[in-house]
Amino acid sequence: MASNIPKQQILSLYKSLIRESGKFPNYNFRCYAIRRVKDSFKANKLLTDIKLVRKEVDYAKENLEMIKRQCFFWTRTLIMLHLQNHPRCL
Amino acid sequence: MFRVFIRSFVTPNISKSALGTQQENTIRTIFQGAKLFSDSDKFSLKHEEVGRPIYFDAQATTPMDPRVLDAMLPYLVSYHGNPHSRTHPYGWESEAAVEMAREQVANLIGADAKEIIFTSGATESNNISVKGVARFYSPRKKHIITTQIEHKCVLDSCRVLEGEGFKVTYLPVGQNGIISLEDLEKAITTETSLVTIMTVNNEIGVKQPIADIGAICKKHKVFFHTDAAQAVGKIPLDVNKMNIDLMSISGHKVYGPKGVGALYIRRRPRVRVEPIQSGGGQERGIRSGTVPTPLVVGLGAACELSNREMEYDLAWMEKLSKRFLDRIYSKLTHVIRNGDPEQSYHGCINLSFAYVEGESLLMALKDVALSSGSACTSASLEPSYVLRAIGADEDLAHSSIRFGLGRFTTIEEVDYTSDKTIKHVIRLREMSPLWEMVQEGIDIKNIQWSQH
Repeated sequence: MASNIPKQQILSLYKSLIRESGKFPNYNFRCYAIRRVKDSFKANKLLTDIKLVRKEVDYAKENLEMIKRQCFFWTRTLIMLHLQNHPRCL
Repeated sequence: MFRVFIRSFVTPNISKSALGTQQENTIRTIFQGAKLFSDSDKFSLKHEEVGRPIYFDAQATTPMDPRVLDAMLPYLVSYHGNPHSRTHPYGWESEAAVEMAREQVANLIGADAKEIIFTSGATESNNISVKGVARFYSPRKKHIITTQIEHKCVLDSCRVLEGEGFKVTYLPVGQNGIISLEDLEKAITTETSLVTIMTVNNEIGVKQPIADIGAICKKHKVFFHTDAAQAVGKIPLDVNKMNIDLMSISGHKVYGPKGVGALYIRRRPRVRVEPIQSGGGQERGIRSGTVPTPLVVGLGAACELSNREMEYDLAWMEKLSKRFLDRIYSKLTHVIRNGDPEQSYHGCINLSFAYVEGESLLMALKDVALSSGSACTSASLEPSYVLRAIGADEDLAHSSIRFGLGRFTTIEEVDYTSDKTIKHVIRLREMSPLWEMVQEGIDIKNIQWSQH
């Protein structure tokens, strides 16, 4: 990431996105959020254009706020998760 | 361990089933976790009623994306103005949100924002386009072309029009579920006002050659309507490149809210429709009635999201469906996929398991939410008209199950569902005398059953 956004900041953004995504009570939303965060950071790893990097970072920040607002709905756990000793996406 | 302990007391179903049967099991659950149940009695289904089934019915409806809800919330709680109020800021802010959503929907299908009309769902959009176009041009043209595998609302609208004296051609489809373009071209007459063909079928997931159909319709100067409820946001669509004149869009099939949809109506050359609903003249008079701001904002957000995520979602669908089919085909024989395997949307897999009753398989797969066909007809045991139209045998049509994958389906769910399906298909086949006969090499089709 050759940009004037410090690497540290991007890494901490990634960490908090993963942490907050893991708080979705809904299994499907939780798994999707974690997978999406990982994949989009991976896909944009080689991004060099400062403008584009900024855009992505802003989008990630928006999404972090969104996740914080949205991960409060309680749902019943899936049968699958009751039966198997299942990795619960974190 | 501690979490399991708490859950087994808090969830009412567990404590009920456990206390009712064996005290011993309860104690074992408390100390060793719920997974013990699945190991101890293999064929029993009684313990599986804890929690919710996995959702595998993405063609019926999709869960609302948290990002969509996040966009909607302000309009549900603080911006409550009527978007048609022109005299105060409450109206202006709602109107701005509605216009923004219109832009987002238009961007997804390559249209202009002015060409989008908000409706209550794809059913209403289909009704407006089929009945509206047919009635408006009825003095000169009284013929409509559709297919045998359309959604119920299109077929029913056509039946209503037949009652009004219109002629309707129901095009047959091939074994793979795709219409023949020669048949279509032959069916078009000078009387024809509208061709209506769905983009992606809701039961078998086949994609029709929309661009080719659009070109034929343009050549013959016939309006082309497509019901894209299952396709919008999932496969790339462009109304100008594909020469689509009218397109129906549904909110709850693109991870948006239920109760909202959109209709694209081309402005140049102008397509005119006779409105079904009379009233205040909102939405250019085509669909009167106050536009529901929060729902429309949700639809707009869902469309923008799927525009952004389309490539990613498509790749995910392809990966999951390949994994699912590979697992099924590797363990089971006599499995027939309904619909074209290539020209179809990967998220919709309709399989027929020969010599297994579809309904009994659905009952056995209690912990997976599945359907044998469209949700509209899921209450009846009749085989679907779509499967009949593609020429599926009566027995295979009875044993079909639709697996609907979505954005939020995980690999673990696919593995679990395929394992369960394989297990129960094998179990049910072992019970079936027909399966035994097939194993012995008897051709079932040639048997003369005696009638009583």
